[in-house]
Amino acid sequence: MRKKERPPLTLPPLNGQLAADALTFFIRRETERAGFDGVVLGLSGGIDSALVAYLAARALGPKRVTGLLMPYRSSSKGSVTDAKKIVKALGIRHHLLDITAAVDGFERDLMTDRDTLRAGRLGNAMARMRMTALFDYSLAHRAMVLGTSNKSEIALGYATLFGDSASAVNPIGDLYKTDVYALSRHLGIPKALIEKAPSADLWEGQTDEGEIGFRYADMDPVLHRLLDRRESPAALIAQGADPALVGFVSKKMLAMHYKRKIPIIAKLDTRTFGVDFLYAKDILS
Amino acid sequence: MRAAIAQSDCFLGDITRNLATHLRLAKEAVKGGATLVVFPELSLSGYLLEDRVKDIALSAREAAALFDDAGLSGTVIGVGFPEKTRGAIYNSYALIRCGAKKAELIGVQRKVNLPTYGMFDESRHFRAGSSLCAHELPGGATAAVLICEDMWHPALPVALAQLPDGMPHLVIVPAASPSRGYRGKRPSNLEGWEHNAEYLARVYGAATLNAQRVGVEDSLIFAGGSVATDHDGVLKRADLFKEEILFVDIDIEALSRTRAKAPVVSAHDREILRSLFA
Repeated sequence: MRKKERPPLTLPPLNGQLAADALTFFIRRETERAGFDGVVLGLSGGIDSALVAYLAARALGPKRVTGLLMPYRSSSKGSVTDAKKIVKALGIRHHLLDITAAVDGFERDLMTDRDTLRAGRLGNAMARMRMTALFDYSLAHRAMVLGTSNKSEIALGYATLFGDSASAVNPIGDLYKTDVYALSRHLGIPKALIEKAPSADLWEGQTDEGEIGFRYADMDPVLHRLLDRRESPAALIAQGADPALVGFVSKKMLAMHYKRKIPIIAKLDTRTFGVDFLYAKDILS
Repeated sequence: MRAAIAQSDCFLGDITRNLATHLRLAKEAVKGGATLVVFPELSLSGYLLEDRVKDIALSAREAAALFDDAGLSGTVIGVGFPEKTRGAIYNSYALIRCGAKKAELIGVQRKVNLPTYGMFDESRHFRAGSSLCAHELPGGATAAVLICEDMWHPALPVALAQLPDGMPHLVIVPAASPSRGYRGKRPSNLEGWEHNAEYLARVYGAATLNAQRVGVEDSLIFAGGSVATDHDGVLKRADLFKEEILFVDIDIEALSRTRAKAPVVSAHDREILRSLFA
């Protein structure tokens, strides 16, 4: 007898209009209150940074938004083409900054034991080189760095610490990848960008889902249940979720938590940063 | 009477700049005919104060004095502020009557239920209030204040209905409710506020003025979406994500007639309540 397929868990759909309005308001307010003239973000050609660019252009007008296109030698050629399409569609400012020479210089002059974990370390170096360029641009042009990591990546720690995880303000960090797609469709981002396979693009042919081993469409509902609704892994498995997926996601969520914390300071005195010196970033002196 | 909800934004921790916003919006509301203008929770200071609370808290008298010479003579203003007393700091709300020169304090409500869960950490920074009362407004209307979380505790409206003169005509509900739940028609927190306002109107026959914050403080997005119910319980909504003044006309006589038609609350028997709570 054929086993009856259980319906997969689903993520309740995002209200695209409402989320777009909230995030537009958020970007405008945070940019103006922090005293920046505009924003800058890394435009990879992927859907996350495309979405942030669309939201930022909606919030501030295209001329106050700058996208940095920062390919490495091994980046897929389509990435720059796709990023340029976004620049053109929105009319935002952009710079094409090839990081190949900088990363190669890093590898040549600053890397010890070059053959140990080489691919991963080079991937990190690329992400951090991009971060360096973004924050450098930020200072030179009074532009606030917008983050482009989504909630699925942040939950799984699928990011380079102090690399793509670094930003001043992240408008999409509470949106699962599934939500990113929904909001992108709502904002009319070209279909081709929404449909291409998500990739960190650190080497040719790399895809998130290939590397992680699960599809976002399957991971997101599980993350939502575990993280937002605080259901137990056992309850999800009882509802038909794949035990391997639930196990993977629930372990990663906490194992990668260090990537979401500011550096831990050993507490010795009365008030310690990160412990009991409690102020909002937006507090005015 | 015409009341106005001032759905205001503010600068976190900067009372001087926020006062200017209050005066600007209050004047606009008065120009529109309002005699009562209510602002959100902690409207003078902002919400996410944390350790800053101790530095900027002020006494109720000092809060009222901010409205001396405001050019709003005859207007009653409701403002939220961190209240400093000799031994504690409260999350408070003052009703202030502006005079030709001096502003006079009508009364102060201290928040009773301090949310300390999820994103909230209020009992770390504030002491909880322990009383509720009806404030007399010029013209004969009475008003109670339920600050944000206090509206969600069913015992409090019950307690208001047990005040010596019964349920006050108006329930002012200043709030700073961070928006969340973007998977429905409206942010899910705002849906809850609407249900509560309609419930107060329907069951208690109270006109409700829920003044929501608009703005952003770090991760928190205050979406606005203030709601008001009039003497017939008809709901009005302010827009999302922008400063707005929401006017509502409340006929106190009509409100009394509505209550007389369905005297649910006046039928509350104290003795029964007492035995139920015993």
